[in-house]
Amino acid sequence: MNRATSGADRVVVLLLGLALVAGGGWAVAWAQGWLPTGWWQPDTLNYTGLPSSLVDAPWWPWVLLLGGVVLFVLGLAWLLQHVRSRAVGSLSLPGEPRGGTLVLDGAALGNGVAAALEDAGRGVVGARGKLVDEHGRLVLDVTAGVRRDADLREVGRLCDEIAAHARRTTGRSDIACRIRLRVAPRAAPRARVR
Amino acid sequence: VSADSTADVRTPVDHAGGQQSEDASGDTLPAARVPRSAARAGWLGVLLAVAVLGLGVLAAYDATTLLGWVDAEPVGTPVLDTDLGVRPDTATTVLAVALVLLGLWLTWSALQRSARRGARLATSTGVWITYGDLERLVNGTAEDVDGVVSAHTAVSRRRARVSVQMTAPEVREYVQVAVTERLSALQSPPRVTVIGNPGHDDGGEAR
Repeated sequence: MNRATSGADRVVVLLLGLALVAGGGWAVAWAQGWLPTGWWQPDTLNYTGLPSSLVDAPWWPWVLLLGGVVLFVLGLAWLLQHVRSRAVGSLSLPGEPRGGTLVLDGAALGNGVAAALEDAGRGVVGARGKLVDEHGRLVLDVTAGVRRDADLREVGRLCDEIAAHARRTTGRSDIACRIRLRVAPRAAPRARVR
Repeated sequence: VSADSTADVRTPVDHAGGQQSEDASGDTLPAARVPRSAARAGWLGVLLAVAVLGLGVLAAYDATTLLGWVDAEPVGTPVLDTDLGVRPDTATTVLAVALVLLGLWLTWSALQRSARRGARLATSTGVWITYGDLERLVNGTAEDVDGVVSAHTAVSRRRARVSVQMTAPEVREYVQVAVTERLSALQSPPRVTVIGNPGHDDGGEAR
């Protein structure tokens, strides 16, 4: 979900909330007779349905169809914004190859960083990574499993080294990096000597 | 140049066989922010999007029945065409109060800022760990201290509260030191509070 979708969600929810507070507040005051003099306060609220001139008009079904299609497309687009994949397929690399361009597969970069963390044998027991587009910024998103007794400083140093090497390898300094450390579940109980 | 499925980003250290050599802190990838938990407005947005989509389907269905393309009765139009009268009575008040409460909850949800999911390590690039994983880590640290029977931890941004069952009073201090040292790898370590309770090791696994 990008920032625009998140903002749209908040604005729509906020407007709906404020409308309910205003409408509900007025209805409470109306039902209890608390409305000041001069405010609109009918004896009963009557809704008598859609005017027959509207429902019986020959163009009514077409307007309904058009409105339905517009709402369907709008709802679908809004929904897809929440679920669309953020994975980046390929990454262009700086350089001047003869007659071509340098392109690195986004998944390969993620897998490579994950494999490097795992192979270093410094507390990381498993890792996976991917390159994603996050609010228009490239982010190398890695999850690394660490042992419960892992030295966090050592793992942190390792992450810095691998990220530095990824930067040199790609030549791209605009990629941000986020490595999540996941603590492996509790190991089998150890015998304790007393 | 195209990589197959795994780009080789192993450091020279790895190629050389495991010795640590370079300090990468100055020239590493910049840190991305620690993610925040999904805002409630996001889930409400999904529900509203589905509602809008459903409304569109209903309107289009009604239109096709009214145009005679589908041999069925319209569903939405008769509902819109129903007479409705609302009186200022108790039932209306109750319903209106419910709507106000729902509106307040929606407003609060829209303005609520989602919380960070974890804490950053003191590294140059972005390395983070969830509070739940930190609790597991701290539990392990506390339980490794001699004299601790069991430990339970709650970690938040500012505070780590460790409850331990221990066999001697001085163990509390050892746990405090061990946990504080463990959490010092974080960029902003939380304040550590250790609560010691007398406990007895039933010796379940040590026979």
